[in-house]
Amino acid sequence: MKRKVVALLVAATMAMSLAACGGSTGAASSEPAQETEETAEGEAEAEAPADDAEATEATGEFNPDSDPSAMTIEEVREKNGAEVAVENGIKLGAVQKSISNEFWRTLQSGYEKAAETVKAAGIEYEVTIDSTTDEGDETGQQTMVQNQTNQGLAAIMASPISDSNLTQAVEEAQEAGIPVINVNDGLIAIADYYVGPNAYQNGQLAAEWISNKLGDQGQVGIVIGMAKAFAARERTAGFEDWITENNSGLEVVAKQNADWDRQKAKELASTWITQYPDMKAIFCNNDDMALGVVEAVEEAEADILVVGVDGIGEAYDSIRAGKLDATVDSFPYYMAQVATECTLRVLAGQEMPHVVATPQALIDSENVDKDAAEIIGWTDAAYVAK
Amino acid sequence: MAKAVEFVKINKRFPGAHVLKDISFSVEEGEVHALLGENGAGKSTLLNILHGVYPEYEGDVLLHGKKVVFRDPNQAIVEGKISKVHQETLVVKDLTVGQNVTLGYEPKKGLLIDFGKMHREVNAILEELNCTFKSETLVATLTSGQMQMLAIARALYHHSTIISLDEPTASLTFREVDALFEVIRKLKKNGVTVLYVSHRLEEIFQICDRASILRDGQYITSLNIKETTHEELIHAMVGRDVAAVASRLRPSPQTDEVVLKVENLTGLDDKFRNINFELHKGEILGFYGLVGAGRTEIMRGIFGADRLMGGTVTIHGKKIPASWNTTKALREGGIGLIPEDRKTQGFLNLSTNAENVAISSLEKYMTGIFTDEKKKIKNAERYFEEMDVHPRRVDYLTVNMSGGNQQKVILARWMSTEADIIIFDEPTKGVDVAAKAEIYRLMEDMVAEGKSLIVVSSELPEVMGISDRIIVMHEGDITANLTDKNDFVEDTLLKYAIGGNQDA
Amino acid sequence: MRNVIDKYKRELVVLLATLGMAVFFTILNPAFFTWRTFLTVLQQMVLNGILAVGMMFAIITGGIDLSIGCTFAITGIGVATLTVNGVNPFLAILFGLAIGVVLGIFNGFLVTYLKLQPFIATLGTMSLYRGIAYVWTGGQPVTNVPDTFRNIFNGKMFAGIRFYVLVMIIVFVIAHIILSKTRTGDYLYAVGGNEEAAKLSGVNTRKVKFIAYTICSVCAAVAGLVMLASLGSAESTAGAGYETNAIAAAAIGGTRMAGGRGTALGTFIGALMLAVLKVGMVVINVDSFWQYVVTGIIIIVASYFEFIRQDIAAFMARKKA
Repeated sequence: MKRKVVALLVAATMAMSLAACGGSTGAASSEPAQETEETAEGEAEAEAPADDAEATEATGEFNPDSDPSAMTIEEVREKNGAEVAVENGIKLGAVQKSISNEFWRTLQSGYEKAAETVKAAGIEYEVTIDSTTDEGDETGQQTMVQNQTNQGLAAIMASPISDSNLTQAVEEAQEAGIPVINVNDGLIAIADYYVGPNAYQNGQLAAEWISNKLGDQGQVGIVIGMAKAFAARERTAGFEDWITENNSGLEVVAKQNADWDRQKAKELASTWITQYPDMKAIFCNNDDMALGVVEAVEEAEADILVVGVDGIGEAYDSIRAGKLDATVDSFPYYMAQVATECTLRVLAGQEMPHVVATPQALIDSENVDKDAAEIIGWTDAAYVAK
Repeated sequence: MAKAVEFVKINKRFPGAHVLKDISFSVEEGEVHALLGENGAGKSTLLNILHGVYPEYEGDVLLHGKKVVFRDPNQAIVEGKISKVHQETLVVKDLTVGQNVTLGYEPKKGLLIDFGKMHREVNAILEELNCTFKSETLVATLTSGQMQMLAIARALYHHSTIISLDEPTASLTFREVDALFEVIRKLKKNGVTVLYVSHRLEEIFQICDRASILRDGQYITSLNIKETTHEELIHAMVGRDVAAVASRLRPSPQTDEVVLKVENLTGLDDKFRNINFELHKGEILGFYGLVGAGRTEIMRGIFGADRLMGGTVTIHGKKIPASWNTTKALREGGIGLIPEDRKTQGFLNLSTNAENVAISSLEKYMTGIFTDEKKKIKNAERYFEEMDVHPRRVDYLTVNMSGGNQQKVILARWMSTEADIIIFDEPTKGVDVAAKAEIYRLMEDMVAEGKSLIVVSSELPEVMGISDRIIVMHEGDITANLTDKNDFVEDTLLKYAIGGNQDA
Repeated sequence: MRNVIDKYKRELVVLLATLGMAVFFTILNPAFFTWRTFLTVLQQMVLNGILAVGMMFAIITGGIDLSIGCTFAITGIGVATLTVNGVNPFLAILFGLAIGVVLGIFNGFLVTYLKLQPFIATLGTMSLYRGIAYVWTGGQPVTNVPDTFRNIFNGKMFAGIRFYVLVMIIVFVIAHIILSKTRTGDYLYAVGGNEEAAKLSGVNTRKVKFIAYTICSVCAAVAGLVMLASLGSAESTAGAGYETNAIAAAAIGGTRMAGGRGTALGTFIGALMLAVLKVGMVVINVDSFWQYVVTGIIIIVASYFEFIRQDIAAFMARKKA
């Protein structure tokens, strides 16, 4: 009997101490958490400039979203003339990431479409496209750029996995006299040109749409992806800033990471739905996570707007099926064509702005079946042989 | 003469075992002093205390009259000037001889190793030792005899005044042994004290001045070699008690029925070849040989634990198939094996006694389709009672029992099965005399029940006392099959064990 | 009673710590203490729980299986492809389990017949299986899994509990029975405790390891089915990194990483603790980046606790003696 009591006592003491350990670590971490929250609020009050400063600091004094000289491709065509002179037999390279992600596969077909357009003008043209299989292969991607440099291509269009993994390879390419055009997502601070959608703006688009739908009232949550690439940070910042700048009645009550993983996003959203019965909308840094959140919303039979970013096919299907509410499509198919056009313009000796913003649009049930070219008013580039 | 080493009332206990009991004796400066005893007598433990491997013990160790306590072997080498040459010398094979000799204490030039000085110094020592290899030689190219020399060179590099050699000749050729003895004599001339541990009595008479004898953790006596005979030494080592317990109390129930027949058995890596023998029902067949004779490997092969190169094994008239494994050996052949190394091969370290007893016969403790813990416990309790296991706790972890009781747990495991051929590999290694006697009685019980036993042993009194028949092996070959009990004599067995042939 | 407490001391301690954690979260945010939050916790521990209990089998034999995240993905893709093409959902589930069996047997083959280190072998199959997933789908997600399949797992039973929670509980109960009530369980512990001794006791160590790796993969396949039902689509990238959480849950639950020890109950509580932690941190609004830090610390503290427990046990034993 005595031993029984002792055993119980020991078990209890140990448990208490462990609980205390768990407790204290929890407490220690919740403090910084609150701090961050406060800082976030502080930032929001200070509005855009603070955010710009932060972004600038993080990416080596370059933020394409706040570049004042940025132009759209239409503006470029107007300024430099519609015609692009292309040297016969020219070869370009493109390095992109994660072929397992539909966005990048579409970008690849965009490069191929651009090649067809050039060839249709009777010009010999070739583009070498290399992609990593997943988002993790940072050094593999570096090797791809180095290989293309060694092949002596005229220019390289690169979409880096992170803000830093291609820096060295790009330096080498530039030393070899090959211009590098940074296409979307990760930032290469030293790249000659940047072509991509304004990620900050797509956050703003999403916020504006949600505000309209909700009558500018209600709680919203943001599912972020681990902020490895510039675009992810900017999407969130654009969304939050829009709310403060417009004195919107929307209130961001939760902002958590889901590692770009559909299942994790679903689980996160389930927790929120329990915790914030009044949550009215969830903005996700990409469509994959948005589709996970949609499942959580359906499961809980909650009435919550879900907005993603990227415009992948599955997102379109989901919108058609009345599940996902909206996505901000940055049209990788056209982005690649713009990138190709800009690169060829650079090679033709045209003076080009440092940043070219590619078309993007918010897609919801109203325009989901419209032709993309119509939505953005697309016309093919006019290539002529040099 | 002054005393180089003095042990004063040394006691050492391990959990569940009192391995050294009040050991007191001394070694004089400049002598070659043999440390003798059977396996498990406590020689290695005593050496490990002397060299700082076991810093915790009771009693005092005095070197050259001064009490010393070493934290670790390194301190013993550097500060105590006392080195041990291991049975299996530890070396870094990818480095040179010089680097190994000076390892950790390399001569330095600033921050860098002064290789010139290192090789000069080491080569001087190697020359002194009449070694044919150089400081610059890669260790990987050395023979085991040369590695032993390397270890001695390392001791000399640290100016050791006391060097222990633990079974130094176990893996040496005759020529290498001669060279080693030459070196030992030279060391002695230079005033170095040598502690010499060996099983080979001839060597003791060749090289040693005095011998101290341990038995079952106790100091027996110190003898002056010149005034001692073989018989006296053996008598002191073995003691009448062990010789007395290792004997048969009942008539042998041996029959002519062949239960196991081994033909042309050959192992992987040439560990043994063309082995032929038979085991009869009710027989205790002894397997004697020196370390490395290949006995354990044969038994593992028969038991299906290792793959075989060739030959056939027939059990109860049934030839065993190529897919033989330990599971089939147990279930289809009725063979059980009690391995030499209980700790790593015998019992399950994380399991209780009841589980360790039950593991080979789980089908017996079922209720419906599920195993029943209560039945396991009941079974173990029955054997614990029968075999007088202490403490009689089937819920204790086997790892915490003493050697003899661990052995009984494993015996109980096989008794719980239907196995009727039991192979014992060094059944009483590290087991005290009382437990030894009990194990021999259990063996007799088993043959009386109609089981057949193979007993692999390196202990002469054991194999001579317990066997109906003895097979002697030398380096993978059977050199003798002794059926006449009059041939069960130490000299005869040893002669065959070191390579003499029965026909010659 | 004392026997039960003795036997499940570790599990009890982790359970109490988990409860302590829940109390802590409730103090910071009373919203934590609701039936719905509890349901959320239960539902969110399902995938990791099922993966962890499988992982525990591999760990008990002294091995590990790093490929479970990939087996998880392949099963999702395979079953999604079948159901989308109109195959009977129950047939598709059998097919998914068969995928688990096949991939598990291959892992077992590498570990036993080729005698590869489990870590290396499954590191290899981790990449191999992921590659198969990519090649199979060309990187495209398989979408629009029919509700006939999804409802099998997603349907509600009572009090809002979904079937897949029941699936997890069934998996744990089966695991518990295998480990504590069958010969296979005894053999698993024996092989993990001392493989050579087990072999020399007549245990077919190869077969036992095959069984362990197969169970592990089948659990991963079951988790893949639950994931597929829950998301309605399958991706070749799914489950990346899930093996680490599974290992963590098993370790917190007292599974000995060197093998030979571990219980289904412990792993269940380990997975429960991680789920409470995950949900709790969201509820009290811990910053995402800090969640990693806290999770890491909890895993370390909880695992270190095993040593403290042993010290206390040793101390008690000494006092008794």
